[in-house]
Amino acid sequence: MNKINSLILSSTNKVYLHGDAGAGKTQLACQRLRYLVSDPEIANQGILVLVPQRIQVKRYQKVVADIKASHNIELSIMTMSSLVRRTVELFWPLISDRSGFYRPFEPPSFLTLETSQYYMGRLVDPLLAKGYFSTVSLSRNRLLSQLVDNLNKAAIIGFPHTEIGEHLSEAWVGKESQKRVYEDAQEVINAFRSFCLQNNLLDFSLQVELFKEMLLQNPLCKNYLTRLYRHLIYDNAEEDPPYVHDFVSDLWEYLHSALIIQDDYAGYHSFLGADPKSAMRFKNIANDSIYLQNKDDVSEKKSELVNAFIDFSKPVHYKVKDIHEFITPLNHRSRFFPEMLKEIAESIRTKIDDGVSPNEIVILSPFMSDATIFTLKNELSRYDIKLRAMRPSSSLNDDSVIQTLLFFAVICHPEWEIPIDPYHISSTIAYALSSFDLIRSHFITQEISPALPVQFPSFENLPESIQNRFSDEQCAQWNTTMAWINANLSVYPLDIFFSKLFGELLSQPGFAFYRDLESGSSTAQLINSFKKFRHAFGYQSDIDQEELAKEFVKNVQSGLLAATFVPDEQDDDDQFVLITPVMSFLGLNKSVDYQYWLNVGSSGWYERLEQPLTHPIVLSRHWQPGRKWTAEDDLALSKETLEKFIRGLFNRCRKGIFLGISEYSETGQEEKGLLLLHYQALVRRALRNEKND
Amino acid sequence: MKTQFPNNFVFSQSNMQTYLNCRYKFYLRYIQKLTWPAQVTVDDLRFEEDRNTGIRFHQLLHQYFLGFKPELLIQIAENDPDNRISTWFQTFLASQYAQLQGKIESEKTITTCINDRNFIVKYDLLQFKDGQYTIYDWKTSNKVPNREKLMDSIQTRLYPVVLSEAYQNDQPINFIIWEIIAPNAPIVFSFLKQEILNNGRYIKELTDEILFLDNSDFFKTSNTRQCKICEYRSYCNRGTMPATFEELDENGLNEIEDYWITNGYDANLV
Ligand code: SF4
Repeated sequence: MNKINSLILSSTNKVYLHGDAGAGKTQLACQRLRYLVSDPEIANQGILVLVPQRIQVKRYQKVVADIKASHNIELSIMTMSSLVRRTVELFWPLISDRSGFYRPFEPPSFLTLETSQYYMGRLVDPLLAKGYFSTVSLSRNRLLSQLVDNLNKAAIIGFPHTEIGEHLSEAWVGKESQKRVYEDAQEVINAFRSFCLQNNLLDFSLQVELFKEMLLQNPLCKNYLTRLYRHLIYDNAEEDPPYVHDFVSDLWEYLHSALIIQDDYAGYHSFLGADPKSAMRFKNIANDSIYLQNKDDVSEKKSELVNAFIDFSKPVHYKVKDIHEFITPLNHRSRFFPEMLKEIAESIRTKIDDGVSPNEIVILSPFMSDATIFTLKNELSRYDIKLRAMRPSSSLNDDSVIQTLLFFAVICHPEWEIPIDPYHISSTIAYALSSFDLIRSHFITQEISPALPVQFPSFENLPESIQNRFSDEQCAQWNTTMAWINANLSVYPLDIFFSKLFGELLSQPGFAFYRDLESGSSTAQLINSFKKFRHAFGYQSDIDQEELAKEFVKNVQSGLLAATFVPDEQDDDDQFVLITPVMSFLGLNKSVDYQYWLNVGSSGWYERLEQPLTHPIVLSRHWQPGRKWTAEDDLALSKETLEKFIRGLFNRCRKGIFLGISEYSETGQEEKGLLLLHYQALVRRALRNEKND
Repeated sequence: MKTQFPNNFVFSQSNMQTYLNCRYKFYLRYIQKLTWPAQVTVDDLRFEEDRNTGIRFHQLLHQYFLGFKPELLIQIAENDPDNRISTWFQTFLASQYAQLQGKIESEKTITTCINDRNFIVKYDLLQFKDGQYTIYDWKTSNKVPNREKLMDSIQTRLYPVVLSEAYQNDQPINFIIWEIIAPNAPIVFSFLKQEILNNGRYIKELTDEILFLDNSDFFKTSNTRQCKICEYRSYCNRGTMPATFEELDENGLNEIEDYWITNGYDANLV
């Protein structure tokens, strides 16, 4: 350990640190950071902490805040995409007139994933009508996301975007018609890039290309970066794509010190271009290498167990009860999925009664449905246990607060002529106006003409027999609502409308959002999402606000616009049990005492998403040009993915894993995926052992 | 009940100013972290645009001090969608500030710990020349600043204190505030060591007060004018409509600037 300490507590060496998850690598990185920032001279030289995901930033921020240093600290803790964006924004004037932009001296507009998809959609729609992509069955949103993903892959891997179709086509072994689809994809991608250049739009792929190909070659910019960052700590390098490793390699000779951390067996985000092999280059160029292992008894036992779990051919030395000490199905085997969720809630209650902190428990599944979250929330609330769902890719439209805001937006913008389902009208009125119930709102709904636009009746226009069914309070609240609506017809831009609607009506006493904390953050999310949408249109003064707003609402309703996941203080809140997809949990880089796995029979644990327009492996740096992607490759990838997940989850669990198994899955199927088979095979081998004994 | 401060709370000019304006607002915004996206003024859009223009102007100056060619930046300024930028930039180029000597650090953020409290300050420009520091603050608020008010503001008190602590500097510190619409009337302060110490004492007393308050001491302001420019108006049941532009004084403008800093859509960019 002394040797490790002397390597870590240094500001002059370049170290490659790797090992199992949970072995203490990030802890050592924090020690290094503490050491660097505690010294006034080093702290002033410039330190960069690079992490693959935003959520990891906090841990390092905390280290610095805890130090309470009175000297200045030149420190940046960020993700590479943020570094790229800031650098491109600052150095834009140096490169814009040499990069093909039509208006190089005007400020660019940075696109988010969603706004890129939106623009891609505008180019794709007329082509869909002409029969492009006719042989693939994909929702429009998924089609757009795969096209954008292709462009991003080309940039982060490092090949021209004009060769995407060719790469995919070369590796394809199925029907010839699919090659036509790749050609269609290439055509749209080329058109998208031209569109961006014409309109000063910077999608992620263009930002990365400008950064790599122009800015890193520019002496002023390179000098700026190399002087700004003299010391580097780079955590979870394996979760980043190769262009990040290239950047770090470029920086290498200028660095006074570096600590590169790699988690063995990880690279969970390979579908997004994460490349562990590329990250291993630092092992060769670093002066020293440290390997960290989990060495305590429990870890060793766990490591043996995980090896046996993964490899059918490995002999098993223990009995079933030994296995169940760490990984076990819930006591009672349920027939249906909801029954099993009840069992899980009951089991969690027991754990918490035994003194386990709620934040030491996580519920995991390869995918997360609203119904599962809803049921578990209800079940756990019966025991006063709070559940926090972390779903990075949920759609904005899943949120009832946002649905309410959109509902009023449609009512206040009759020019859009967007229809609303009568049931939705009744339920939203009953929810938004606290004095109303479903019966009263149904009376109102009945009086709405079926012709578009949807228009609310004023109270005095209701038939007298109906008026009599309303209390004075209800009548007054309806009048307040109508007065606000009439005073706020066709307000643009839409973010201002939402802000007014929130502040002047819905968060006022008597309305649904009054002192409701969650409604504030949901509304802010919607407003921010619209602002990004608006800003993506740049500084054009001739933007048609009506068209823009209508497009936005349609896109939210279609699920294209996702709720951006912003990690907040709640991350450390020990009051909540967490429920999240497996991939998100692995990205958190956090260990817990207990894990509950759902949908154990599902193939979602390892199967690649159906992606007919892109391919994470073919579009990677290690793919040999000309090779074909075969069914065997698919199988091998599935196995590799499952192994990674199992190891990752075992390493992030201290005390025990519970398998939520039901005869019928959430979708009513009898599922027998690989994960379940592995578990059953492990138990069978243990049983055989017991018999032999 | 003693207030539970978020771990490692960082004091800044804006959060301390918020505290002075309304303790409850400070509590909601920085302790409860309550997001409440109601309008701050009836003209939020105009403020947002002005703020973005201000950011682009600050960026131009930053690029200038990084060594970008002035001709290139003039071209950028001329093509900016807001034509004020070009005029402002020409004004800057013609000013003495375009010729600063010594060690220059532009857009410099300093975080430091004083008396066990963390502080963060963002300087538009720091100049170190002849053994002395000068702080420059570029303003694009479209209002001619009032020297007396500035003298008492948290910004003017805090900036030299943090600089002198972080750089272990014993020398006097100059602080120049340059409002672009009054280019010939910069406001110049020169702080001697004793004044910096006094301001440091003031900051300590203020942060002591904030840190040791009970929850119930974060009460609502009695100055209801503050509520007109506060996003929590409905939460506090202090009215429906926000302030109009005419109703804003300088304090109000600063308050709104602060709101945008906290709530700008890119505030969380990491
Ligand atoms: S509305 Fe008024 S009392 Fe409430 S937080 Fe704002 S300023 Fe303070």
